[in-house]
Amino acid sequence: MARIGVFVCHCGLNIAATVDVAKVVDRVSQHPDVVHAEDYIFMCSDPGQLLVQGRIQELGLDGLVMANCSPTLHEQTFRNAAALVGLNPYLVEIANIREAVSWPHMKEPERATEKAIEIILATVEKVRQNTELHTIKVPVTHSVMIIGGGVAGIQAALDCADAGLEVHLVERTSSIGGMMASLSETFPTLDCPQCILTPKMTQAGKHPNIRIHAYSEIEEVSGFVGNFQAKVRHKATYIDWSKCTGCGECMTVCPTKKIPSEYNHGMAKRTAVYIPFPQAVPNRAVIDDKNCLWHPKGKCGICAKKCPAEAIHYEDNTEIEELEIGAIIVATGMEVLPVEHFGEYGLGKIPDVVTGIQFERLLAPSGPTAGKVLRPSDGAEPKEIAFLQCIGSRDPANYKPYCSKVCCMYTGKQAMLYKHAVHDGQAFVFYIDIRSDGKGYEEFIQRAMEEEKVLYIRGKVSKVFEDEGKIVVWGTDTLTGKWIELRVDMVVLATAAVASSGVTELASKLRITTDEHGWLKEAHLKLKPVETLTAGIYLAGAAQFVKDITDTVAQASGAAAKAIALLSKDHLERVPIIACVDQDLCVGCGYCETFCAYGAIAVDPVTGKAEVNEGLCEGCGGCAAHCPSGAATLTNYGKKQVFDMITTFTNGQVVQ
Amino acid sequence: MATERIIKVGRGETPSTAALAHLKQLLTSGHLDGLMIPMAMGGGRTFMHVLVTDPDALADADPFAPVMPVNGATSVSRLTKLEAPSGRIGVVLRPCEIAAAIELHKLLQVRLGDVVVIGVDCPGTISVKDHIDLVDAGKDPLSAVAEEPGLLREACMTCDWTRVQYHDMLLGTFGSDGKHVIVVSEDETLLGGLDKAPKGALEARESTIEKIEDIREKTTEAVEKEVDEHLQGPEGVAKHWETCIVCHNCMEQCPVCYCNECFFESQTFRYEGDKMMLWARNRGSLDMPTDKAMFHLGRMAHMVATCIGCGMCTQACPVGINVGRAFKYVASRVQPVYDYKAGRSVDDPLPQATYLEDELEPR
Amino acid sequence: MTDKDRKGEGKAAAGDDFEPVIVGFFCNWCTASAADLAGTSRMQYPPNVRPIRVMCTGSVDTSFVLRALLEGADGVLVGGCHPGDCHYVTGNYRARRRLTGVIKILEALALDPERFRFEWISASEGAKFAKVVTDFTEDIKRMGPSPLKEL
Repeated sequence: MARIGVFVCHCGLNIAATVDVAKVVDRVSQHPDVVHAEDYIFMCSDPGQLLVQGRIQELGLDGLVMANCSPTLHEQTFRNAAALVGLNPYLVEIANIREAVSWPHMKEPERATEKAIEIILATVEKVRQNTELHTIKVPVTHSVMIIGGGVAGIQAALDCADAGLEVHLVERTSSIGGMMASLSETFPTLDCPQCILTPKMTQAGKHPNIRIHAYSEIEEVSGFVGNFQAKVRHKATYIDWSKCTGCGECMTVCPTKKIPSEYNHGMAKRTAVYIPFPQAVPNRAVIDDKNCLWHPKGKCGICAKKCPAEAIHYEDNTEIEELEIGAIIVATGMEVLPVEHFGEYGLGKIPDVVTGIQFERLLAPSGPTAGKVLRPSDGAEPKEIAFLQCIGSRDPANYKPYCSKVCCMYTGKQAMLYKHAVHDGQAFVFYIDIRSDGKGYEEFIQRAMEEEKVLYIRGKVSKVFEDEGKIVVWGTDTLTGKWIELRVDMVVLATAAVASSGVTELASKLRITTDEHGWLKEAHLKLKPVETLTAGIYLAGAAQFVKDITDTVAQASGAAAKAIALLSKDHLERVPIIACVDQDLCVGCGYCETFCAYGAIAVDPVTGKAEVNEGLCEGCGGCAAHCPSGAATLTNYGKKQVFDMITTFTNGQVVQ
Repeated sequence: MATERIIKVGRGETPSTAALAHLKQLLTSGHLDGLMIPMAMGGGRTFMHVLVTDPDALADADPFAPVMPVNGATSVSRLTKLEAPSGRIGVVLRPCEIAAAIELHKLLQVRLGDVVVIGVDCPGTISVKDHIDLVDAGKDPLSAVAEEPGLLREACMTCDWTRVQYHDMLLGTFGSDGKHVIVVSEDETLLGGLDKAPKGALEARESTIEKIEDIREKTTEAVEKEVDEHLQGPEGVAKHWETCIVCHNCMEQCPVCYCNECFFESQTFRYEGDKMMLWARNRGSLDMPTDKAMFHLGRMAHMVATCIGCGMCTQACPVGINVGRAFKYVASRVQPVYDYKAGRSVDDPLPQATYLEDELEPR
Repeated sequence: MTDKDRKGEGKAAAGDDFEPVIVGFFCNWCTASAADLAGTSRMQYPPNVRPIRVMCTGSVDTSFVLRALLEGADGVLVGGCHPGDCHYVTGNYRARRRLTGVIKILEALALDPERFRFEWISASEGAKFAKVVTDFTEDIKRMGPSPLKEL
């Protein structure tokens, strides 16, 4: 007979307001294997843990059922607490009576209580058959792969590299820099990216521990924490980068000049052979084979002739490189909703209606207008500009329900920078609420209003259309209730931020998940915001959700710290819940072998029996379910354990 | 290239004795080192496979024995699983035995390539009990079947394997009127001394096969109709297995139930006494032993995708439950889901050994 | 006295007060997380489903489903990661093949195949989890107590 202790947490009122904890304690105490049951207000608190540890020692408990919140939160807490007083941590199991009971059944306290009792009793059935397990040590690879070369990826790369880890920074465009490289100046300090980002880019490019895989994408990722294998596809550049010096001569001769520049978000054109911007790292040219005349027709060839380094060969130099990786940081960033949306605001129809990120390029000294604000249609200086916030954000009916978070601030900044460029200009900002909740942010907005005389109008715009060379904006001032008509020269839309394109496919390759809007899902929104549910894979920057640069850099350093901590040891301790095979029962049919995606179980040709490779087994339990003989089992998830849990649910509790 | 030859059935001979003479010759000449073949037992009351190395020990053998107490694939597994015997061993198998051997080969329980499979045309077999009764009553089982075809086992009357689907050597009797045995093989050493098959012999066999297939399909339809009427729903299923004594003989005799110990016999399926009391209280009463439905449905879930329909389960049942009828009916509905036909080919991957990314979406 | 007797669910009769017993097998990486999310979001759904957390739907044995149904469950719900998203690469594909076999057996013998449901519910689909549980509970209520437990 086992000596199991059951500890029922109130979680303040989170559990106790719905579940009758006293009744739970009374009922579970009647199980013949439960020698002790009690409840406490916060079991995860220090006194709570001390209480549990005390009971283990004084009663000689050989198994614990902790009835509280989801195991993702405190399974480790209680396992550690038990281990400290000599109880093997794998004899501790969680019965989730909060997320699975008290919260979703708030209106049915009696049935919730019954459900809680059954879940606890089923867990008792499992624990009484658990065996002591000891962690497995596996060697780790001291390298980090960072996906995405924006400011998040760069920061994480520098932190990891400085800590002595080998860093592979994978960027799908031909230069690192990301969205930040396209910005004009940054709020609230008005630093330009050239001043603050370019040095970091150069540093990353020159760091002895960082290898930048530019113009590359993730093909495949296998393996597990500490020992991932990644296949990285170096896309065809058609140019020998070992020879290319980045002189840019090719761009001056390329006859195909009218391709919208990605770096300039369509506000300028580029050539088919191109370096995205002068400060690119690496500073190397690529040929865009969708637009180059050589592809597929074999015509032109001028750039190759003119290239002083003789680097251009037009040959498909796609290459797949395999990397051994210990940890992965995903820093794929964000985009804004594309222009085909928002026809109601004239976007895509009226040339002088642009998105916020496009307007950045008109403000940027490095942009197509060299920092002069000139409207796209005729190059004239706009004297009046309307900025419209929350376009597609906070709009659950049509676009995205969430607040895109950075728009209030960059709109204020853009209005301010516009006033700096056009002193006699007037800026109008339509807003729902102003959210300026960062350090120095509110003061910054006040400055825009008071010093730069930007006119803020609380309200939403209903229609934007052209009339006699002007753009007419109709809206309502919700503070005064007055209907407003503005006739302006330009309109700037703060369109909703969304996760980068292709991130869903990437997530699938990494076996991490996205939320309903495509943002990468963190392990816990509050307590594990940089971890994912997949061990060894971390999130940095706006890939997780919209962030400004401050938060992005902070999270990037956080992710880097996690990776550094993970890889600071020579060995990782792995959860010992893996498959094992009863050699007497095994009939050697090989079903398990056909199941296993890791090649961790195989029939030994000499013995004719299946054997498990402990280093490779990930503990999914698939072989056990596939094995008709019941020879393969997953440790502590035995079939009898599951059957007894089922019996508790179908037939109730054994009463003494 | 397969070559077709013929064994003439002479005066005073039967197809069985004529074919046996050829097999004996192969053993004598050393082209085969051993022969696993049905052998009369108890003065012909039944037949069992025997592994013969001495040609003189073949006297009571019959490659076309009309009774199949054990599916021969089980014996081929015993012979080859751990390590196939060196030398060339001929194994005489009916198509349903070959079907089982094909499944067992994929399950690493038989090394099919390491034996010489001698496939025989099979018009069907009589159950062991009927066979013994006929012999004991002084009747000739073959004549009895000729008079009353309904004596054949239901699995045989609804057999899917009229055409031998895999062999190293075929002994064909269909369409010969008992006058010859067609021998087909790609291996010349197995055909030594035999005449070329006369024109028309193969065509006659083929047309007989088609006729038999037609009859068997019609019988299958009739049986399925009975299942549709009676073996449906919890009540139908309960009634079908009403008399089951949970002896697990059906499993023991199933050729594709290959485990050392059946999972459903293991301790995993036992209940603590208190749990049984609980279950009994909740239901009012509890059938003992408790795991009847779990055993049959569980076994079905384990092996119905590889069930080849030989009906050994029915023959083995001491209380006369037509187990095979239910299994075959379900198999014919489960296997097509995986585009699979158990026993058809060694090249079709086992349904549970593979998957497609785009298939079988849940409702 | 047993637990079930107290609840009056032991030999439940069809009717308004019939509360089915449903056993759920939920993948640790997706559906169990979706259940957590549904709880955290305070989505309300009926308490009939009794969850068992498994590492992967690939580890759900056919005998788990059959045992539950034969022992007294009125329904069995398996929730796993969407195709292509398995934490263990292919476990959900294998589960789909294996468990489809159970559905087909139940179908062939008219043993109430609707009492077994297999759903893809990702970690972000808390609302889907709540809806699936609610719908399935209602469907099983409509079907009444399972006759399979009498087998």
